[in-house]
Amino acid sequence: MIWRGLTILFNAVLLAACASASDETGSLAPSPAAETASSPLVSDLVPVTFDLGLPDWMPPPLEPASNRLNAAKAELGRRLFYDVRLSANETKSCASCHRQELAFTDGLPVSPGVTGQLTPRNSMSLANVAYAPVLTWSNPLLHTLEQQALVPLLGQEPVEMGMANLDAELVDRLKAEPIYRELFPRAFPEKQGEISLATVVRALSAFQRTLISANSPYDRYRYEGDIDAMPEAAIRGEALFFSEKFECHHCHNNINMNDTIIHARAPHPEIAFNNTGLYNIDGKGAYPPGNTGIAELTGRPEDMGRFKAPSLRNVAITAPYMHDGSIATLDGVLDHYAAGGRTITNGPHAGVGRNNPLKSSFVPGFDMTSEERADLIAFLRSLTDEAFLTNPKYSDPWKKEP
Amino acid sequence: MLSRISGRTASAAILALFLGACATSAGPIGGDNPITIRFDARVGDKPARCGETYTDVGTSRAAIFLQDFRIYVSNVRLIRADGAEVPFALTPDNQWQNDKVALLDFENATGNCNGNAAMNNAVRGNVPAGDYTGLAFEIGVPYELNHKDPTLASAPLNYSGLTWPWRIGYKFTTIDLDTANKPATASHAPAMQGMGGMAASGFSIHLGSTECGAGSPTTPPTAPCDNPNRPTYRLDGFDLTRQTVVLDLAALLAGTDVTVNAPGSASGCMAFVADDDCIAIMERFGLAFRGKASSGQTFVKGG
Repeated sequence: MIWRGLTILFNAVLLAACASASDETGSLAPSPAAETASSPLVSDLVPVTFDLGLPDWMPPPLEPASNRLNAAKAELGRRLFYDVRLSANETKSCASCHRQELAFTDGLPVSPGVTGQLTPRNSMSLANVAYAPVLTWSNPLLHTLEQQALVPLLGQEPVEMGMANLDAELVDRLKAEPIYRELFPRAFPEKQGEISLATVVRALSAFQRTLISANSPYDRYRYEGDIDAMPEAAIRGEALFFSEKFECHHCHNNINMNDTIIHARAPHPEIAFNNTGLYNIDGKGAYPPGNTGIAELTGRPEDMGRFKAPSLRNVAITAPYMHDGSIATLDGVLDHYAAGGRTITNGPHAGVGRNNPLKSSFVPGFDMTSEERADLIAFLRSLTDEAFLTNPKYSDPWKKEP
Repeated sequence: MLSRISGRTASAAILALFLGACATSAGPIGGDNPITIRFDARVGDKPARCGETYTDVGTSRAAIFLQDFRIYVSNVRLIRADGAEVPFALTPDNQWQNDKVALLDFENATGNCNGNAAMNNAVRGNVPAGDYTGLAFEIGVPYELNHKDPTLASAPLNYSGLTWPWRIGYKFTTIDLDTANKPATASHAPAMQGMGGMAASGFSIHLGSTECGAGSPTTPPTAPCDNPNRPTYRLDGFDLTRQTVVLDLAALLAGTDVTVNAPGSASGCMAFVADDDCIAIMERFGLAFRGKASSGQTFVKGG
């Protein structure tokens, strides 16, 4: 106690020496007090310099400095992405759950792995996934595609591609393919063309970073000045989407129409997880077991039901919706938000989501006329990028082989 | 215990004495030497941070915890000893400030906060050498930067969590609170219809320009908004070398019950003229509201 008192007194004496020139000459704040620490997340990331064909308005995404994108790596990653040899029984590739014509989703509520076991969550679109500072619906710890690729490849709960403990088998399979014996050395000359899990996930990540969607009618309308790109209904819908009444924009407002993003012009990653009142099983905010949002990883009860807002790019063709695919249509999604949270009347998940105590305050509910509903749907349909869905650069390269 | 208290009190008194003596004798600052103006967000005496719970906030003495706390500051001036206001030239750093506006960021994405890990509690720049005895600044984004497509903006105007559609412009204050007093009580349940309800699960203070003309929310206004809502703060007798600009959330909310939300209004106060939740808050920001002038701000003080 005495020492503390003396220290304070001593500090006061030091401060009193304020007329001395030395502490008035420069920065006025002691530097340790200024909290300007950068996120460790960004230290290893650099802007992609490989030509992604981005329009001028679109900032480049970032990539790990240890896995720079180039044409050879992207081409190898594309081969691997469409290769069923990456699954235990050679029945599924990444593309099984990420189909280009569905904006790299699979059209299912949840997805079966190689054993038939279902994932708990809905396959997310890979459009512009390079801009995601956290991946999947609800994992705040999963920051890079390189890490993420290991989840479907090796995951055992649930089993997706089922490659756990089959590392050597995977390498043998890939070595047997003549195309890979060419592509790995071109993609990884610094590793002497090593064929390994490490190079596989790096190439897969490189290909995924090339999946750029930036040519929807709304992109052309908003960023390229083409006022004829969208129908009048969609333009009215845009005004509703960005209105305070509907509040959609609160969580869907960046270039990918969500609120979790990092890119070359945004030095700090923005990351958000919100509870939208989709469930309220016990009246205290509970979501179904196995789908509790980031609470599953943080262990914090107040994180129950907090999921990442998905990008709305191509949303009209990525049904069904929500983290568990539990809403079949866009109309159903609008009903959920109009009610300020979904009410389930029967079954094990019954509950009034509107009263979920952990729900975001930006989901209060709203009244909506049938005209407003139609306009909002028209706007959401204008987010579909047909060129992305058919771009030959993203298609299955094995089909082209004679 | 007694000795500790008395010792602290005594040293605090001595400290105050010395500080008082120094306030006018700090000597010239500035010139070639960059200056850092420190800020801190507080709830009463406590630093406002993610993951902490604060009690006794507002008229219902509610408990709150942060979801976000970020503020734009612009038009910074230092007050010279002769009373003149001297523009403070912000040093662009491509993350926290450009030459016109700086972002203060007191959230770090922990606890219940969304956002990012990085924080910033200071504004950095230069003034001509001189004796300075005070500070003035605005909370807000200048009109010429406030109404452009934010997805095309550079730092510090490129955080999607801080934007409104650009007819309105940026959220000058993005203060999002979770309130412990939830869920809706039975007596409030009938009001939970349509937009907003009475019982609030959260409370936001989003200051921004309003009445910005008719037209699409994603087009800029053709003239400055009727209510720019950029409050100016002037701290005279502020010692830049030692003091911190304190933004006190408890004082801002002193006249507000954060556990309820005015029916039919956005959550908390989002600056809109029709929102009764804004009456007490705009008063404490020091802003006129519905034609009634504020009797004086209480949000900002030297600490």
